[in-house]
Amino acid sequence: MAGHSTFTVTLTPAGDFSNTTVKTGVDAEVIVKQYFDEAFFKFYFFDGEKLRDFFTANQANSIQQSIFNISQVTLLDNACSRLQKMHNERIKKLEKDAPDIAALNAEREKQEKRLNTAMENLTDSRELVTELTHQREKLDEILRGYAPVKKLQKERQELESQLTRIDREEDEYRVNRATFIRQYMVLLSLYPRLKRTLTLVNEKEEDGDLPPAIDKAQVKRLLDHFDEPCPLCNSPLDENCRQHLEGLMQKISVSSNTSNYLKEIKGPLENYMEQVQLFKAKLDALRQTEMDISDRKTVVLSRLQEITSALVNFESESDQINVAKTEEKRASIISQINAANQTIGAAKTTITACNERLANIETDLTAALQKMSEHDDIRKQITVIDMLHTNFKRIKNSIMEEMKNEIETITWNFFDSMIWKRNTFGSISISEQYDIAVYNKDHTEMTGSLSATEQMALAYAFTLAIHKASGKNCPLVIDSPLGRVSDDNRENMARALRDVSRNKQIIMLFTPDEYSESVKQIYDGVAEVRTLNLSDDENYIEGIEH
Amino acid sequence: MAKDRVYTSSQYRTVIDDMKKKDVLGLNIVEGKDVFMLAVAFGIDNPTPLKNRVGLFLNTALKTADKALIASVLLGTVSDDSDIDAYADWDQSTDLCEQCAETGYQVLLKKYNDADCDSDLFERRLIKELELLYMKNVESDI
Repeated sequence: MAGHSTFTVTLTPAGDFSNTTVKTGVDAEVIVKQYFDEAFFKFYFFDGEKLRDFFTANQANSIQQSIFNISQVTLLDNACSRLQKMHNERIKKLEKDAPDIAALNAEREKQEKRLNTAMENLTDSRELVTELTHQREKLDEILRGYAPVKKLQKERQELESQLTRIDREEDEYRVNRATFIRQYMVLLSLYPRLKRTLTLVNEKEEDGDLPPAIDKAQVKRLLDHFDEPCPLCNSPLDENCRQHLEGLMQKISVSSNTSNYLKEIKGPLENYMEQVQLFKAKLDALRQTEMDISDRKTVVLSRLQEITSALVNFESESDQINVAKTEEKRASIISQINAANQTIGAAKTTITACNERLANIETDLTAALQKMSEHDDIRKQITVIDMLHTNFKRIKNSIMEEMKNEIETITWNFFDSMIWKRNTFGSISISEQYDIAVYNKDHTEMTGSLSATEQMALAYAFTLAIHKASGKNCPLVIDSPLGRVSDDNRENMARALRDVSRNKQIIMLFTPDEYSESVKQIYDGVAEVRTLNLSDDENYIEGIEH
Repeated sequence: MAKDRVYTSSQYRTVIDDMKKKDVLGLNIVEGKDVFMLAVAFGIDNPTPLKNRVGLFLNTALKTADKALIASVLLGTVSDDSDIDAYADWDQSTDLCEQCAETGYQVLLKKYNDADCDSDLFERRLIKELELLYMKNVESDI
């Protein structure tokens, strides 16, 4: 009903109808909230017949929630939930993309070790090559100094120089071949379009369109601004002029910009055409070079093999030098040089790879450290969130504790005032979960052995305590207030409720049986009594008697 | 605003770098524009739209001879009754070339892999292709 646009509240001061005021909308809702706060709506109406439900576990939860609402800790409770959610989200983020700096550092260490090993291998192999080359030169010197093989040795040195030159030519040939492939792959693939473009440029030139005699853009501008006078003679332009200009537009096939564009590329296009014509000749030359290199290399290698064979099988005529052994040693040294050169090549490759990997690791580490710094921010946020959460929870618990103690005290006061057995009960305690326990003077719990009347008194006391603790001046409606009370105690309970009503508005709904003569006497002159005339089926009120 | 550079898809940027590193076809000693034109040649008939484009090189790296190649890729498709002004458009020409190169990078990579990453075999096969291209595009045109 609240929130509905037609909701109104009519306020009439007791007995003074002339000062009646009507409130609507938010004003009406404020009035209602003063008396009937939805935060604990369950405690406005008390059904004495359903006393048994009052102290069930479900009810305890409901009571706790109502106390939350009354003491305004719902806001704090929501804040705590939200903070817990924020905490969890951040923890999840930390866990999800936590950079593994340790793993990166371990990988860097591993790569650095690998790099150092490769560097050492490179240095060692280079030194070895230098040393072996020196040894080979010494052996060559020996062979050159021995007359019977001097000529062969000299020839071999000449052939080895030739082989080095051929290898260099071969490298050059490979570069030229790659260049040839790149160049002609472009020219031959694009040839139809290059040729079409050049033909187009030539045609336009032959037609005198490059450059155009009249600027096409200028003619278009005139047509677009036909209402303005001619920029040359300042005369107004008529229909004949328009037709003439449109005719020119048809006639001029290229704009000045296009003309410049085409003229600029004409030269290179002609050059490309010439290059294409040279394709076969260049390919033949390349093939010829390859064959030439291959043939020469075969000859040199073959002759070198022959010389090596001759020297290995050479029978020395003197004891001064053993040519065969020297040659064997030389072959072994060359083999070692080749092996060392291979090691150098492998070391260089490893060094390049390691350096690249290290550079990548450095980049990853920088990114990881950046992330760490972001994570530091997240950790700081978590610290603040946790601190707020702890404090909010502490404040909430403190308020709840205070509220509980207040309700506990008030409940006891009400209960004590309503119970006529003065020397039986000693205290009431309310747990965190709002379970109520009654103790006797000896501190023994008696909750389970309370009579129905005492249970009702306890329920009234607790409800009234909640009302009081809420700070709301709301009435309490009790249906069948003496319904569960034994006959012996009815008058006592009626009297207790009457005493409470001196400071609290209580509306009690009695059945005729309940409102006995003895009860009536207690309320006569103290309470305003109305009699409700119910229909036969007791579904509606037919009238009210004063 | 006119384009100031030529683009490629980010995925092919890596492919180009890898090819350069391996010195396929001597690509480690040539400029980005040369790799680009080679890719245009390989994909000339099948342009593919770019995804997540990144800059490859600035237009200032292009000389007139390079511009003639790029301009011809679009101008070479003009028909007799077309408006030439629409085809003599630098930005559209580079767009078309970028799309051809997009296919071309894939073709280049496939051919290299098909040759088992053997540079010598790869180059010999390309020379065979050149001879076929010459027969198809040049000799048949004479």
